[in-house]
Amino acid sequence: MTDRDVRLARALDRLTPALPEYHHDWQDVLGRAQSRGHGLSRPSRRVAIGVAVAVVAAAVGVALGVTTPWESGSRFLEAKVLGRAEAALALPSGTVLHMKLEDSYKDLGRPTTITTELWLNHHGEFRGFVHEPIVGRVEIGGTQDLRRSVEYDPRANAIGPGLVGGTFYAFGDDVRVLRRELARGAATADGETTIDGRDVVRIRLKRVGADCKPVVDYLYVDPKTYYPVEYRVIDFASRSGTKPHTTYYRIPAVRRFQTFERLPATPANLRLTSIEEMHPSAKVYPPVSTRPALPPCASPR
Amino acid sequence: MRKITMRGPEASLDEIEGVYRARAVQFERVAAAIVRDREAARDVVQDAFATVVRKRGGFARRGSVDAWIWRTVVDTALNRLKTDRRQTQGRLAQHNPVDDQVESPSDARLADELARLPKRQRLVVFLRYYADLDYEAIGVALGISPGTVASTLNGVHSALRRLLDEEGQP
Repeated sequence: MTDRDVRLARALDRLTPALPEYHHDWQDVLGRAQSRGHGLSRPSRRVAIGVAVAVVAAAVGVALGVTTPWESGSRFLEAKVLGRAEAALALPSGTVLHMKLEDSYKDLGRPTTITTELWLNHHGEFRGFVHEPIVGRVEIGGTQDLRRSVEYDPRANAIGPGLVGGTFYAFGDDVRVLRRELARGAATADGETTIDGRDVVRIRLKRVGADCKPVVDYLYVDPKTYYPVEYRVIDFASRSGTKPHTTYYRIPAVRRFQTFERLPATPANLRLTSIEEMHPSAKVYPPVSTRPALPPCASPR
Repeated sequence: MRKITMRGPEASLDEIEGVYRARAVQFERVAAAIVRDREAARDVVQDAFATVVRKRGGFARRGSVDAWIWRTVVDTALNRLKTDRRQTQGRLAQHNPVDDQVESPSDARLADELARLPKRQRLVVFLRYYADLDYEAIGVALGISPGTVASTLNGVHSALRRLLDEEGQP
């Protein structure tokens, strides 16, 4: 330090002396963080994919070995398939839907698998566990319409959005989305095929993606129960800081329904659908809407 | 289930809380120097950390967590200054020291001189002398290169030369 440095530091010290101590209030910081509107922007990522999507989609078709194209012109049969698939996804009262899902995708070339176990009641409330490699196991809850999405932080015994490990989970419900897509006539029965040796019916779902371009997803259902087996879907990630129509890039994902069962809505099973009921002594931060703003072109999810 | 996750090497809550507990006094001091109000400065620090907690998923680790938080604190303080312009302009115009202590004539002159400095020079001074940051950290916090930090500080020393030389007189 030069003499002038020292003199300047001394003079500045008189102008704004350091406080002897700071009254730390971390809970206040967390409270302020919760009470502001949550931006759901993803972390900055390199732009990925583009034309690769088409290649991936084609490769998927080959790998699956679509063996029997659905008989074209059989409108009645197609309506029956779609109707039954839609009915299979219903959430009737008196039941609790229990699902175990495994999501696999590559983001920026890194293969990732996330497993999720969820219990949903017919009001659309859910609770469950997500396990992903970076964050580990996180208990989540909320409503399937994305109006509420919270996590339980066992260290703080608190329930709120984004509390654990810097990861924000906002769960919507593919079950509900798929039902709507099937009902609105954008789906077509697309033949039978096999996945891992298991016979499945393939349903083609068309929509507009967050990047304003057409997207085709595929739902594979069991030919007897019409319960979902696998969902090949194009997810979108966004980069922050650029114009909305340029922020989204595609991430092809495979969602396997390892368990899809309806349990009776007993008090014990209903309790499994409520994160608050499972942690009655937890501090609950005021509810905030966590529904992400829809990109201009995307079909509602 | 549709899921929107923020993944990646984001700053963890523990990491952020660690910085908060270790350096809140310095954050508060710099904020106080910018907004010229001790109470508002504390509010700025609490708000800045709330922002950091909310946006931790977007932290891309292109610099240290510390520098990123410094940037957020400085931005929050500058925004506060902007939104409270009517009140703070009055305070800045008077160049009062932040604490209610008797101001010496030389301190009043220093405050005057500081107020006349361009914003970047003032911020560099605050981060250098109140936060004790090195040139690189200041550069990250203000979005400028370490070389620019050095030349900016040189400029400050030149601008305040007479005053600082007097400060050195017995």
